[in-house]
Amino acid sequence: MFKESETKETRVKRWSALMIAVQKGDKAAYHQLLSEITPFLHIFLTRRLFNKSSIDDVVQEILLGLHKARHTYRPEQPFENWLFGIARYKTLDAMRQHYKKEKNEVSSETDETFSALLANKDNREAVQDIHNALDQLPTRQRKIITLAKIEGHSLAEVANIEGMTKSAVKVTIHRAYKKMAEWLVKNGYE
Amino acid sequence: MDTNDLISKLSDDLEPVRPTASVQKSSFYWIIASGILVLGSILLFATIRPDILKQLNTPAFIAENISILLAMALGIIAAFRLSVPQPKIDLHTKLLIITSTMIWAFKITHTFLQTEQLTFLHSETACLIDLALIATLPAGFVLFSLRRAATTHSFWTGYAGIMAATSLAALVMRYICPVDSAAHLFIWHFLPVIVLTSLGAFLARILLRW
Repeated sequence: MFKESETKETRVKRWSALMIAVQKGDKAAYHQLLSEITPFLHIFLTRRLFNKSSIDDVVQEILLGLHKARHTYRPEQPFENWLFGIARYKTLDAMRQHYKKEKNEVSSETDETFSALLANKDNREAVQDIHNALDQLPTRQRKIITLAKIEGHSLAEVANIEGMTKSAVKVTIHRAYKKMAEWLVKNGYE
Repeated sequence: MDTNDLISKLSDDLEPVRPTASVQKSSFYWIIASGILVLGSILLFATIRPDILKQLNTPAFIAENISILLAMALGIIAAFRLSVPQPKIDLHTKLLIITSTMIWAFKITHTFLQTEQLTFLHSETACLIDLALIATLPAGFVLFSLRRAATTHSFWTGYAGIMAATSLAALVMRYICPVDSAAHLFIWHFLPVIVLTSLGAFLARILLRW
């Protein structure tokens, strides 16, 4: 088991021996190895991922990657190098996918929430707060939100008016919502 | 799924695996297998140039053979070194890739400087097609081998592997094509090696993902 007093060299050698046993099918060694490396993977990712809520997901991706690539471990290679090679690879993958998702999608939940608030003419205070939040936005973001969500233009129409692509309009709306949400939270909304 | 549950599941489902062969073994097997594949194709579909015995007594031809073989060997060793996960490409591997690239850069520059007139005769495009066809089997074989591993640097792994395959093809072409003019070698034999290698590297970014 992992001992706090153990030196790094001893620990890495031990992991290397466990990994060799894993390649032979030793299930207990595998359970021990994965349990011991997981906290180190958490530390590795905490320093690299902005989105802390996705750390557990990426840790699991790394463990799955290790499982898939377990036949590629060579004893002459330091175990840490091999492990963090996989960790780096999967982390970059996760960051790429996150960026792609952010670029292409606006959270539909956020969209519904803001659309409902903007459309709710009965609650004047809420509508006023939304408009105040809108006023905090940079000019372009404010204009795009106004065109898309208040005046009711489609994404294609907004893109045409502003001379942008549809994807760029989506990303701008997403960022504008984020800023508005931050402002609202700061001013007492949940 | 909770991480602890995943760990339990992976442990319960564990089966023994055969570790990947060492770099030396993998490189050796690839060279032998690709050599046999290519030789078989040549014997079936092509003819050796009639002046080959004369060429083999020429120091320049021998030197060319050795340099191309060296580029091939360095490329395939680099590819298999890169085929396993690692956080960054180590210096040794970088030197292998740089050296094999420099060999081809030197050959291309050398033949270009010797070229008196660049011509693009349609009749000579056959060499480009032959080179690409000959490279297909070793390139396919190396990509297949690398896909079974788990590279974390797919671009450079593909670059090194395809460099080895196209080098082998370029070497074989020197035994088939009797044209020795610098212009011909520059345009239809040597330049395609770098072009095909670069294309292969971009393709490898997709094919070697895991």
